[in-house]
Amino acid sequence: MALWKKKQEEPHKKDTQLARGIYLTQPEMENGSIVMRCFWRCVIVFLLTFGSVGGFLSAFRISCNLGLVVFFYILLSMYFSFLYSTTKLLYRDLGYILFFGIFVFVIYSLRIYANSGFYSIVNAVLKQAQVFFELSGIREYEAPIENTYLTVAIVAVFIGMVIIIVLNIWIYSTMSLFFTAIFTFPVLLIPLYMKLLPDPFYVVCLAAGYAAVVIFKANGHYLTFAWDASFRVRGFKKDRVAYTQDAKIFRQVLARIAVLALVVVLLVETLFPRALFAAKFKNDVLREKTAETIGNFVLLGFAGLFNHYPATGGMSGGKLGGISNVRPDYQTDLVVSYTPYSNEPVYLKGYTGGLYGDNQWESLYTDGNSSYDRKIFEEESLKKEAELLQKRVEAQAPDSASARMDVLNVGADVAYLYYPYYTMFDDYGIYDHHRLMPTSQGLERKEEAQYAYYPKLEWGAVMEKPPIGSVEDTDINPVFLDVPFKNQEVIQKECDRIGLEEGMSVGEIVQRVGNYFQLHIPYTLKPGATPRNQDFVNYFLTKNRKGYCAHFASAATLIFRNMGIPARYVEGYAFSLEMALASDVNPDKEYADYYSGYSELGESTVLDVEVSDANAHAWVEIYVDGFGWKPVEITPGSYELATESDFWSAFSNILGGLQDGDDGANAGAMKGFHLGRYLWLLYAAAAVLCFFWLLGLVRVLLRKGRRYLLCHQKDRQEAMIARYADVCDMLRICHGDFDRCRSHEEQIAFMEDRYGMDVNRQTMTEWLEQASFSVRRLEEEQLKEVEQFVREAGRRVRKTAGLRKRMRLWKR
Amino acid sequence: MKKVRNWIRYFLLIGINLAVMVLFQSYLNFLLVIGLLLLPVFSFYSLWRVGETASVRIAGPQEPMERGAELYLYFLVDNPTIFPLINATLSVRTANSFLGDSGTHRLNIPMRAGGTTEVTYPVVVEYCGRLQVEAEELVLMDLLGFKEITLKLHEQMECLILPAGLERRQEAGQIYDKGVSETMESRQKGYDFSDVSGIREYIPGDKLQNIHWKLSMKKEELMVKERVSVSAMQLNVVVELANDEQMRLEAVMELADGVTRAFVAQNLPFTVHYYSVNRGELVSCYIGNEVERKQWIELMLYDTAYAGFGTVEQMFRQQNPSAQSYLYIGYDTVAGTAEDLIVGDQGTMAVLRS
Repeated sequence: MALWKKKQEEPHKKDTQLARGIYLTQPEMENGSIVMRCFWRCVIVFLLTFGSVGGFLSAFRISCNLGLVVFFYILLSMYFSFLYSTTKLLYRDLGYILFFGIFVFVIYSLRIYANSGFYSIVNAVLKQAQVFFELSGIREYEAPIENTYLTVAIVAVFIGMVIIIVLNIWIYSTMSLFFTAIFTFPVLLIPLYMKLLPDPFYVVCLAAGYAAVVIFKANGHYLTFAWDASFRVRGFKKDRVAYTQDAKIFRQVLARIAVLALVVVLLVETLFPRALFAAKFKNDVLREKTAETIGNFVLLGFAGLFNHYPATGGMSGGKLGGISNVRPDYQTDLVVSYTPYSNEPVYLKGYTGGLYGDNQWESLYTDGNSSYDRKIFEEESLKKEAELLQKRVEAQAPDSASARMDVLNVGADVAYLYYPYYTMFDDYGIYDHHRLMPTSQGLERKEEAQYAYYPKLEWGAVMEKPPIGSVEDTDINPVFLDVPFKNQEVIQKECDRIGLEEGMSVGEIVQRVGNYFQLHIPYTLKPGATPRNQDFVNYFLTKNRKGYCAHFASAATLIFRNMGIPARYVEGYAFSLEMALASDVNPDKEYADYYSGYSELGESTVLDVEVSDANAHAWVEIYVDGFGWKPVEITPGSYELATESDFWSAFSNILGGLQDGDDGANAGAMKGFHLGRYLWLLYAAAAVLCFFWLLGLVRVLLRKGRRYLLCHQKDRQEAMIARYADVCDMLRICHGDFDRCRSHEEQIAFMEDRYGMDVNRQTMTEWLEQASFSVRRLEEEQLKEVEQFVREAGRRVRKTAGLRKRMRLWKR
Repeated sequence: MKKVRNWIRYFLLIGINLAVMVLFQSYLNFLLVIGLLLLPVFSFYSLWRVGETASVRIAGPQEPMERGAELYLYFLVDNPTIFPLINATLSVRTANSFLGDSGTHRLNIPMRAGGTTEVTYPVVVEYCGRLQVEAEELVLMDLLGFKEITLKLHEQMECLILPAGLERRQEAGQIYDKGVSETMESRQKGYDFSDVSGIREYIPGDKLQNIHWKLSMKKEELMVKERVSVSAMQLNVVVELANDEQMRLEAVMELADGVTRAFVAQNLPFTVHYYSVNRGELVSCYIGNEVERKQWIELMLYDTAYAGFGTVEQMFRQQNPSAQSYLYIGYDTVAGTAEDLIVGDQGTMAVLRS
């Protein structure tokens, strides 16, 4: 009964007052069913997802069952869209949970298909990346199922599903272009970077989707709920009756946008085709500056971006510094057939670095002057030394020998030849070893070569001679005595520390350096990456004091040069006699075909030695007067350091990375990870936080400015109404239950109750309602009183609010 | 502010696309930039085309409605072009001209292409009067939310909202009898206080009581006063159309409606008098049946309420000094006896004045 009475008191509580005594109840418009309203939103989600994923696949020319993809995209888009047509939020949540259950079942059932499809996509991307970045070798993933047409479609459906779920949420809640772009465009940056473009159809889909988001964001009317009425009353004065959403307008706008996108794309493709566009750009700054980093990323994943990545061994082409640790995969790179003849390791030379700078050993090739490059190759491959040894063999000198070695490249970098010391090539026109090997089958990845070489087993007194010191009267390139300026001080100090002095023989110098390294600088496969902007050798000798072969070879090369011994850095493969003896004997090959002459081991047999990436090595070649270039091993014996036994030791090491004086003695499991090297990440995070904080601050200030203008407008009555709205807003923040107050009278009663406002409620209600809803204006006295009331209410709300509430009030 | 936001968002979008286009040398972004540049052209053209051809109609009930009943208005917005617009805002002025109240609100609707967008507006009018609904202007916003154009409209409709007073048959009958008997009694005594409708020359057969002696002396010929028919002067009803903050006019109108309906129902003719603000004079209407009564109420509702009770009574007395008795329907009158009085809501009453 009481309830009935209350209803009688406020017959138009839910209605909109248009004028005194005239009420609008609930306006209606035929705006389509909730299902149709959701359906047209799902079309936007579909366009964006299909445009993004399909565009990516089409750019890489990956074909798949598009019918299947489209079917599932439509199905998924509709499913998630229609979750919004449910009448209760609970049903929507249940819908997500149900889908998650189905998803888990499906992904488990199709995991092999998904894996295969994913690997197929990755392989296709890597294949394009290999061409684009001119990468020497890319590992291919093995797809268990070969039917890529199906497996790629399945993966596309799974990827699209994720995008659909996320997009659906953002498009329904905020129609945010930012998040739409974040979830759909980055995937296209990969092909765009490689100058690959999606097919026009996908561009149309994307363009239409983005345009729809832009348009509906600008206009509103995108939120839809099953419980929504056709119209909603808005505005503080409740003087704006706005429609909520309309399926028909959604459909019409989408259709026009799609047609427009199609016309634009077709017109532009016709009038200004892709080739013409590409020709307009002379420079490619982005790719010039980032290709190396992105190439590293393609090869090594995210770690490659941070100059801190593991290497699986193999050749680095003289590039130093980026590798933090070496984790060989022990896959066979070369199969070498030869006969053992000495206790010394066998070196297969691959790359020769002459010029040190920018953390790499550059070769002396020009890639342009073929006759010069051929000379370089002849000198580098030690033609002169081979000829000398050949003459000794012909002269049947007692310690001379000739040999043959078969090298089968099964996994090593094909950019290089791998040949033993001292090989005599039949044709030195093969000098350009930066290219793939030409074979009868065309360009072959795998090399199978036979090398005739002359092992040098006895060195006699050549090592007893002093360093030549100068190359003036020789044909040696002066660069092999060059120590870069920035390294000179460090190298000289290191020479002093080792105890190298003028007048020492070459052999003595080599031995002292080798001994010093063995005793004082530990060998490790996990030395940590050289920080950016630091010199590789200087960092190794002054700070890190640990490393693997490339570190020792580089440092030793400069030390030898500093001592007047022409030296150069060499990369390739090396294996010991022990390893060779553990290999398979090849019974089909005759010893006589492979070796003749003096052998320290006597007549042996032909072995097929499987050389893995763990055998990849760097060493030094020094020039010895009286013979020529000789390989020198200065890398200490391999042993790994003890790892930290507990977390705190590892943690202290991380922090230790900030200190310059870290000598690596305590390096362990987390060695290589130096917090100092990642400070830029912290700076970046701080910058991002600052940006968002500033953005928030600007937004708050803008809101405050707008509110100030409203509350101080010329029309005092309007200003008073704005202030009252402001006070109500503050009350809403401070008291969640304020929203229950629907009328001015209830609001004023609330203020009386909570803030002890002393006011004639009925009069104040009348005045406020008159000011808000009536054309009649308040008189001066009335206005003054209402202003005073509003001001006092605001003051009391602010004064009594707690700290958190005050913060929220300030942030409004 | 919203437009500025849209512009900023648009330029940001163009800027980002241009940056990606230049950095990546991306033809895709080139296409998107071209699309983005053409989008405003399409948007403005759509706006212009719709602005050229859009029209608005308002439909509503043709017959007067009773107060408190829900009546349906229809806003019909035509867009014969092929271009839809998501936001169109009608500025609608709603007024009760009788009470002098009005309000303006905005109705936001979509402009569907090639058809009519129809909005049903259920309205309840609590006070009697003349409901006027006018679409003053239509503001169209382009698809990108950059530009608005305003179409001036003068489309309007109106509907009379009639009072719905309770029929006070018994009380009205008694008052009528009393009022009429007083008039007749006076006339029988030789005092004819019926209204003078005009003056003319004497025609043989005229009553001597009607000779205007003073004028006859001046003109040196007999002049007679023409009087209103006695049958039409059975009862004068004076209705006060003054209003105040408490909206007591509504109660007066209800009482007047109830009382006069009771008179007509009992075949009791009467003459009503009210003050017309529009005409600036007292208006009198003879009511003999329900049709005439409704016409009178409608006529009255076309007028406007005024402030200050007692205005009409004062004017009636000035213009009809001979009136012996009349029924005053209004507020705050000097209370009569119980038989002379019909009490309405909010302190209003119909009282027989002698």
